[in-house]
Amino acid sequence: MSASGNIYDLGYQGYDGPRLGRVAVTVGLLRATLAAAYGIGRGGRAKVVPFGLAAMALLPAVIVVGITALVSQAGAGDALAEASPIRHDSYLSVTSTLIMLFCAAQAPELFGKDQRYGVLPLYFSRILTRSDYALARLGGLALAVFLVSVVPQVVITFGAVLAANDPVTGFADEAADIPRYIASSAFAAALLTAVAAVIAAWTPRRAYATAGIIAVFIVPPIMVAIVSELAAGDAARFLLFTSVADILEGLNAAIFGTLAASPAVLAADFPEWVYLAATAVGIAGGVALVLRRYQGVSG
Amino acid sequence: MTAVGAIVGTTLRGMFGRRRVLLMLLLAALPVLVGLLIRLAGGSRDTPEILDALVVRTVLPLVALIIGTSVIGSEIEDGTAVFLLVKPIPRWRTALAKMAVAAGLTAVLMVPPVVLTGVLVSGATGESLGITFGFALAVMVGGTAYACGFTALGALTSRALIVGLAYTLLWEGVLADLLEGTRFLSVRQATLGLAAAWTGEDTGTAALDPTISAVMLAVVIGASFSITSLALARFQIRSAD
Repeated sequence: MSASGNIYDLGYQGYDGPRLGRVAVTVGLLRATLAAAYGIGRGGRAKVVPFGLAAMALLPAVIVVGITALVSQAGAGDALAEASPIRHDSYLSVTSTLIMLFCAAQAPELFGKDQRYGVLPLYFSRILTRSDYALARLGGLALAVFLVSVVPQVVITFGAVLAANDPVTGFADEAADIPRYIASSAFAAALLTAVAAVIAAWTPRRAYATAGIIAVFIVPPIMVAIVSELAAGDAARFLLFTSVADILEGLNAAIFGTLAASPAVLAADFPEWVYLAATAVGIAGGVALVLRRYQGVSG
Repeated sequence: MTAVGAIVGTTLRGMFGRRRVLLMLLLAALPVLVGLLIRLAGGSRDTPEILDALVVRTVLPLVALIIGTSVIGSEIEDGTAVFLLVKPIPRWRTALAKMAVAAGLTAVLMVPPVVLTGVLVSGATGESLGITFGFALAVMVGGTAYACGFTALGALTSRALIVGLAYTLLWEGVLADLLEGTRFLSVRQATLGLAAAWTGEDTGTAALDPTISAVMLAVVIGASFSITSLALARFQIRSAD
């Protein structure tokens, strides 16, 4: 053992240039969350579920565009447009199960994983605050869910414009529905995300969180449907507010000015603003609970 | 067979004493709650429809899914599956013990709510009791098939829960409304087929023939057992995610 070791000066030094602030870090986390919601940046197995569900949500739109193209070639486009069960105003209820599954599958990945692996202190030791972290995660998931529900609608619009004899009149026919489906998808994404995030943030184990989210989304609508059919009265009407799917159904019908597809919503017969209020309360309550969770959790 | 008994014991202990049990009890209580509401509103004659929508369509698959995917899945996730599999017990016995626990727990959790809900909805007279118990029996058999199938799924993939949910909600839910033919490959329809045969009342849609139903459920249980045994025999340690 001779003293032959050397210590080299590698020139390590501190950084004292300009730094990006809190906003840039939050936006960065939001973008990372959006990517993670689709498994981007992770292996192929993490992509199967989100992309599979998104593709299934897109499938009815693609089918509709294909059929529209074929039928308008045959010259019966208008008759089809009236008879088709897949329209802008019905698309949310056609694909709501898929969107709920997307939330149930991906929310636990985004809200539970950092808690499970105990890496939250690494985030909070930087300029990012606890609230920034929670808001970035919420925003990223909401954006991901919004894309799942709005992209098929855009595809339908494109298909309708391209299949029309004259693209300008085709677009004019569609123009009224564009802000409507954007609003409906945005509200649906925000409410579903808020509810799913509360469960996922308070339940770090992935399996329990997924099961809990699905139970909360799927079971109440069925209870509401049975009770509203058999037991009329105010108790049955107010049970409607336990069912996220029915609130969104009512809101969607209010936005498009159509009749809701769910018999329970029709039977309850609330004025339209009630659904908007219920959605707003649900979103605000969910965000508040998620923020509270991250104030306390040490990771 | 003491080894099987020991596995049953540890699995049961792993299933209780956690928040999961709370979730499952809550789910099992929901049909009873609805039954109570209907009783307060004067009762109903539509027991088969109500039990179909509440139990066979939603609560039963959800409970069987949570139980089935966790009897093996949570041992893999926690890393304790290795200790189980290094013991010199034939893998088919391990599979048998795990599936027995899953099926038994599902039956214990689901049969009492079905009976309670049935009695609450339509009273305890001779005829309606017959319908209630016919449904309870069908739920027990169907629940066993669900639990065994989801146990096999849990042994195959770490994302069993979401795959199982996609099966129940999409294949048995959305697609069943669009494509009539899927009912021959649906645990739910087979369960309803048995229920229709035992109660003499169908739930509106054309019920499957009871023989076909019984064969379907037996095939599901048998195939799940083989798949679980094989999956455990070729088990490789993998990461939790």
